Amino acid sequence: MLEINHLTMVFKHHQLVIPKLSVAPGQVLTLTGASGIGKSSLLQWVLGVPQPNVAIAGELSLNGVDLTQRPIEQRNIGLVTQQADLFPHMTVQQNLLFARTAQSADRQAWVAEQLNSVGLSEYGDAYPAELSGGQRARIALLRSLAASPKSILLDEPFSALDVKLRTSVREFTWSKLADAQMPAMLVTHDPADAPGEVVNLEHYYYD
Amino acid sequence: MATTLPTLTMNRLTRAGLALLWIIVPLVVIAWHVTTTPLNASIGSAWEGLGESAWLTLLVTVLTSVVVLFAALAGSRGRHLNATWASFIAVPHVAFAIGLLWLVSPSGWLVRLVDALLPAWQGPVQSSWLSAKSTLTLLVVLILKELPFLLLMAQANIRQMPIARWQQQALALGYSQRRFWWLIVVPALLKPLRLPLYIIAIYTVSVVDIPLLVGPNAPALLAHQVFELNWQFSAGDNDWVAWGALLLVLLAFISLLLLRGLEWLLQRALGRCAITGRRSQSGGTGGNASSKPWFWTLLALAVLTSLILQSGQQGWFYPALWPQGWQWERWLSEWPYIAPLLYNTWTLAVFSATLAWLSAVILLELQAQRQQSKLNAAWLIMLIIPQLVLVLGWQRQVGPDNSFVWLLWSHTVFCFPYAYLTLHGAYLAYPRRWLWQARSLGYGPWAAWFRVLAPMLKRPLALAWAMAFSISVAQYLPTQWLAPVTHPTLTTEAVSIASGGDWRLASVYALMQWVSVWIIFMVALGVTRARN
Repeated sequence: MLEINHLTMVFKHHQLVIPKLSVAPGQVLTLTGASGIGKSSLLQWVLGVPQPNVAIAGELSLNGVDLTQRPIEQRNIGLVTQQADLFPHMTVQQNLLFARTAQSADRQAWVAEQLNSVGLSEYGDAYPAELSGGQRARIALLRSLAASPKSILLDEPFSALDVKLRTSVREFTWSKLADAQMPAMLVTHDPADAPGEVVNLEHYYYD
Repeated sequence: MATTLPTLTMNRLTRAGLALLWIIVPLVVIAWHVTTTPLNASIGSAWEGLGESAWLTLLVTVLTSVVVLFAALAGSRGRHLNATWASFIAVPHVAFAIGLLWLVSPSGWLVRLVDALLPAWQGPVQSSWLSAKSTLTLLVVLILKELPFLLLMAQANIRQMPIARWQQQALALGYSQRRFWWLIVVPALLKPLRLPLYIIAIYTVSVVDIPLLVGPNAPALLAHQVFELNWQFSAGDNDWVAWGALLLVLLAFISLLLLRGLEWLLQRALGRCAITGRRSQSGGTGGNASSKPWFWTLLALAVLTSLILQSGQQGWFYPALWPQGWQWERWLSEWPYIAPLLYNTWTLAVFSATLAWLSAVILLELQAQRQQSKLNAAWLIMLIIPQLVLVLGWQRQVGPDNSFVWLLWSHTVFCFPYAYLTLHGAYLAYPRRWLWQARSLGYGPWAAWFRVLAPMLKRPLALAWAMAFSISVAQYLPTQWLAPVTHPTLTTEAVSIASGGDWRLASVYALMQWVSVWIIFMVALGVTRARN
């Protein structure tokens, strides 16, 4: 369970006050709201990214463990973004191996299996620039899951894709997340992206 | 907030430490020197002795800056210079001047070439205006050496402008390419070029090594004259040195005011032209020769060839196009003298470049964490104070022949702003989300920096180090005034030999200086070649 309590985010011209938000394992909570309201800032706070221009107070816990003061690398929360953010100097295989923990058994075989499962076995040695948008989006999700996170954040992961690809990548994402049974938060502008509960941040907006 | 408070404090302490090392201490030493130096001579007598030099310095500074500005504005329309051109900018001034002088002097290679092609020509050129050591030669050397720097700065800014969209609009409205460039792009370019232009102006006000080689002697440039006076030991000369240093600061200020005025006038004139609605008839797509990469390749090759031939020639009398005899043994016989200089130069350059580079990276990392994406001009302050004034103050406070540590510190003070300037664009434009990705996968901040950011920014990081290295190699005044006996370098020796008139031997030292920088740039470009 991912829980946010007593969160206050003070921006330059407005603030968000969120008494409580929680996401159960296997559930995807969708955040919507006008541009600039603070959706991505909220996601970054959950991830643990310092935000010098926003004053933030609140508590965050995952499966009962308080994460509020923990740095990003100790939170065990994955991130998938609109740009996919695959490391351009690494091949697809290297991106996945980079994410897979060193202690994992048979890392190479795991990578091969994952690439095979998405029909991209022959792209292991390709660089991200050589992939299509849909292929990049799939690899980005696989990479996030490779580190065995306990929760995942999705920051407009489908908005750079065309309508046809969007549907297939969306289905792929939901099926992977259903298998992983972890709480997830999604930021999107498109209501069609939302697979479950939707929270409109405008309800928590104050001048 | 418990963990962020120490981080913030650490960040502030680190910034304060960097500022202390590279800005505050250098300036406090100067301030101390200025306030404790009595000015015994009257300003009238000082002006009588230094006035002519001051006027000449102002003239050379303004002319160099204006010509470089207009050539860069016109030239940046051409093909874009790339990273390789950074290596041309980094060619040490002294090596460039020694090579260029043989090329363009009244009995030099170009004149000999004209002589060979035009039998009617009566050479060599006889005019004091065009003599090897003259104001005109000085201007040519300074302009050719400074122009690539401003061109690169102009093109870096142009790349960030939506030029294609502006051009489409202007052409659709019936404007020619040339009018579009001067009425739309140039006004937008003037402000971002202000700081690089000021850096060029201040460099010109206070440069000593180039005037020593190719500048006029009567009157000499003010920095040149103050440099000479500082070797005298009479009290009167010392007073003039103090007045000279003050005059240099004043000249620097006046030059910047004049350049600011010129910018204002140019903005107004172009603005008025733009609202007349007048379209020119001609297409006007031709650019300035300086915009063409081949021009710079040819120039660099000609200067390099001139240095190589000079370093090996035994006799080369007018009007012979090629040397009449060779004496390559000069290289071998000079090696015992060159080797220790090479060691001094490289040691100093490696350490100061590394210190400067580390400082620049730390500073930029802190800026990036605070989401400050703009260049902080305060860190470049050492480039907008005449170098002679700074080094003079340091010399007077710490003594003329000091430990390696002071020399290293003085070099780093000047290498640091260039490392910061070279790296800031790429570093602050780097999308931090890649680092968050790595950290969300379980990597700590150091691991994320080394495994994700460093490989992606390897070329700008390497070029920034190489640039800092080349700046240290080219330093003349700090080495000459702070450690001339204990740590002479290739640059100080090349200037001494060339100003003594032995251009053949000076070419050997200049080549070693050039090769040192060239090797570093080639290695930096080679090892950072992108595979993907």
